[in-house]
Amino acid sequence: MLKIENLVKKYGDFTALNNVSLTIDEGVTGILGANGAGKSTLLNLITDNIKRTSGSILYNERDILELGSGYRKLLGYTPQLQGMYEDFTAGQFMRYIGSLKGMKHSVVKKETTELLSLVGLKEYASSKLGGFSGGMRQRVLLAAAMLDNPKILILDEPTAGLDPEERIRLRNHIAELGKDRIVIITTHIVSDIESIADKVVVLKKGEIIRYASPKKLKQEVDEKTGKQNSLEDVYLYYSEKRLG
Amino acid sequence: MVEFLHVYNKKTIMLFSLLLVASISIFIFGANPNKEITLTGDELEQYINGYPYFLDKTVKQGKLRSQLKLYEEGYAQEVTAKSLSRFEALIGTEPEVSENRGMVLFFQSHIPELLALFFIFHVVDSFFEERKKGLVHMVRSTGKGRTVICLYRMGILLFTAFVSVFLLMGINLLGAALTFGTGDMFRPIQSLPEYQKCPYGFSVAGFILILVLLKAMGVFLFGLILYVLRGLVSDFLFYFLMGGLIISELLSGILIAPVSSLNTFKYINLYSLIKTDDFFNGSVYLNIFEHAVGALNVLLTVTVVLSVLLFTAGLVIYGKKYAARNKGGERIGGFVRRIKEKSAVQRTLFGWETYKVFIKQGALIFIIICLGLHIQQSSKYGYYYGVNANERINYKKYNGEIDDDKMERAEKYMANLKNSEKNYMKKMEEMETAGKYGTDNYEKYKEALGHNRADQTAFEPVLQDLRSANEYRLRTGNSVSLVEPYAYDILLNRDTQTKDRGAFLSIITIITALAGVFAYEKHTNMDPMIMAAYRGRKDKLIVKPSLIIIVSFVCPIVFSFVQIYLIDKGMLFPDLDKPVQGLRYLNDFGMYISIRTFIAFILIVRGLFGMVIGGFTALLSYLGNDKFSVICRMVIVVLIWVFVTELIPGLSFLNPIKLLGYTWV
Repeated sequence: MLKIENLVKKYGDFTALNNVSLTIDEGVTGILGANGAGKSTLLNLITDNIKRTSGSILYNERDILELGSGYRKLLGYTPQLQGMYEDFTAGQFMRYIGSLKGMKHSVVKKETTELLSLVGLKEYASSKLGGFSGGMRQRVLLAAAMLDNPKILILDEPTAGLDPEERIRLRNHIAELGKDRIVIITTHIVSDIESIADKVVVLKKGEIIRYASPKKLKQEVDEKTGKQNSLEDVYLYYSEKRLG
Repeated sequence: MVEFLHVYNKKTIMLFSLLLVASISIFIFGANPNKEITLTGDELEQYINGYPYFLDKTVKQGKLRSQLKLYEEGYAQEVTAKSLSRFEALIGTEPEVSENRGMVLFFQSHIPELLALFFIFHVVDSFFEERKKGLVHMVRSTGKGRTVICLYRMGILLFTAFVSVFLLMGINLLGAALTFGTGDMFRPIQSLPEYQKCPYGFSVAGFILILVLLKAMGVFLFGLILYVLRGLVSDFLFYFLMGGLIISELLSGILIAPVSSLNTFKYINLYSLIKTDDFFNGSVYLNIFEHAVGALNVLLTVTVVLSVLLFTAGLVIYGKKYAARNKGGERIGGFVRRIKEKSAVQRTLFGWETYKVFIKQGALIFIIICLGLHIQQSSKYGYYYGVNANERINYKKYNGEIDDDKMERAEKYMANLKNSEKNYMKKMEEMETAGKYGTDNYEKYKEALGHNRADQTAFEPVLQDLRSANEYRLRTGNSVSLVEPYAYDILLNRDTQTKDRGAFLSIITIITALAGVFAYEKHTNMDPMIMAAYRGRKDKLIVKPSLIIIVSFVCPIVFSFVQIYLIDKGMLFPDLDKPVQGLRYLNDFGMYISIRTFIAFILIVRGLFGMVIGGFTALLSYLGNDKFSVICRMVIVVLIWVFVTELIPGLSFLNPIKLLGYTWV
């Protein structure tokens, strides 16, 4: 379990995250929000890539700062910017990430082949990343994040650049992964998480507007509006208002 | 104009500035006043005075050959006739005595052309940035995105070729002016003994202009070939074909003899056009259907025709409706990568960092180039130049541990020599007074005096070394030996040029190797992923610094070893296990260690100073965003460091080149 308590992140006078608190269990948690809502900031704090201003992030009741590299051993992370070494091949990139994850040499090559197959890129293992399309890069990053079977998988805009078939495939795979680990996805495309998220966090201007299962969110808004709403309608509803 | 500014952006300007600095630095490093560069003094005057006779003799021989009709009508006869007319036209040329060393070094240096070729390669590469960034279709779908942009680019190539050659050669001319001076620029080119056989009536200034034009044409043609070929084939095939072209040009230009039946390939060659050396030291004619045709004329004609053809080809290739990619090269490259992928070995983190720095960021190429330059330009110590043979004999005679007995013998020997000298001088004075100057006896005494003085000259340095080492022995009680100093003298004192060049090149190597060590991650946006990984922080805090320390420590040592190896190979370092205080200038060295240990000590100190350079570079890499800007900033830091330490009195020992060439002496 990942517990976030009163998390604050400020950049000078600007508050990117304001007293964010939530508990994330195993399963898929989607974070919805417009551009600049604080989604990536929240993920960067969870991955300990930036320093929090105040608050705490606990994994199984221990602060992640205290856990240090032991916490990062459990992480798999795809950042929003598709950062990669363009002159590496897909196979080289996977093996490099495997090294960074401290994986045994004998295991890395096997998992590289398996994971690249899983994301449909097995025959591109010897191709340079510089020649990959945006969707292919995203799939490589996802495969790299899944190396060493992480307990916490953090995916920042994972469906960016994917075609509809790829997105459906990825969503199904994420749903599978969510059965025995914490999966956190950020997106501003609601349909990406509607069918797979166990819980949804609605972020607006650094604050949590709402945190509940998609079913519950839809029920609440249906009652308020008196009509049946999709998750997208719910998101738009809460983007305009705050529950007081 | 937009395309011009796109190509000549900040990065390109900075790169060219660095190339200018590199060119003049290498030139000045190579300008060693102790080395014999060309004739000077009396020998030069002799040459100048003898030139009219040489010309006269050449013309007379030519006329004789023509009159005697030694050859049948045809090529050989025409060569004789044409050469004769050229040299006849030079009659009346009056070479002047002037300072020639700067100009000889200038004409012999081919670094500007190499740098210009490298620069035009960069310019052509920048034309293809749109391909790398996936913008090629966007550009080609615009009104000016095909033929027009191709025209602009070829214009940029022309501009680049001429301006880069002009400026790079210009800055070397400045180097010549700063080191030895250029002398009267309007003196005939034949004033330089190296151009005695030049059949053209240029002045030195005129000759420089001709060279600039020829070399610029060569660089332009090279750029056109790069541009057209790159648009025709895939990247892999392009590099393969360019590699083949460069190698074949080099081999043809270097290996084919001037009189070979294949000499057309030697002279009608991009290498010969850019180097130009072959055409101005004698008459060069090609046999074209039994007619003697000037090789330079043929080369220029071929260059112009080829340029026009490539220009047209460029317009066709880039102007055509659909740009199809040639997959041939990709298949080959892909095949190679598939084989590599199957046999891929997993690396440790340190292995990956080394791979990234040396292979992916190109550090290995810089190391090979810098080390190659250093080896190629280093002095060859195959002989004991300027060493008095008798002095060497004396060193061998008194070699070994110094004791009172040895000192007594040495002092006695010198005292005897001095006494003999006095006696000979006294005898000669007496004979002069008695009017017996010039007699046989007198000459015998004179000869004996000459030998005596030669013996003193051959013994004086040995005695000085014995005395200073003995003083150390008496002061400290440590045993010390007389050591033959020549090899150590070169290493520690005399050959500062090789030492300084090694230090300079090791600084360049450290900077280019380590500039991307942190910046590469930022440039590729890999930082967040790495920092979130289990060993990501270990990578940044331990693995990368380890690599930085190793590279920056080892680099100066490797470059120093070039000089050490060459000296040892040519002269052999004697008595390496003897105390270092046996060398005169190391009598006061605080540690009582062997010479071998002392050499290791100075190498370690050089390595430590190398780590300072490496540390600075790594710091700038950490703060920077891309490797290229880090290199530029670090070069500026080093240049300021050098200038400040040289300008402020008493601080020159902090000059980074001196630090990385540390000798203690």
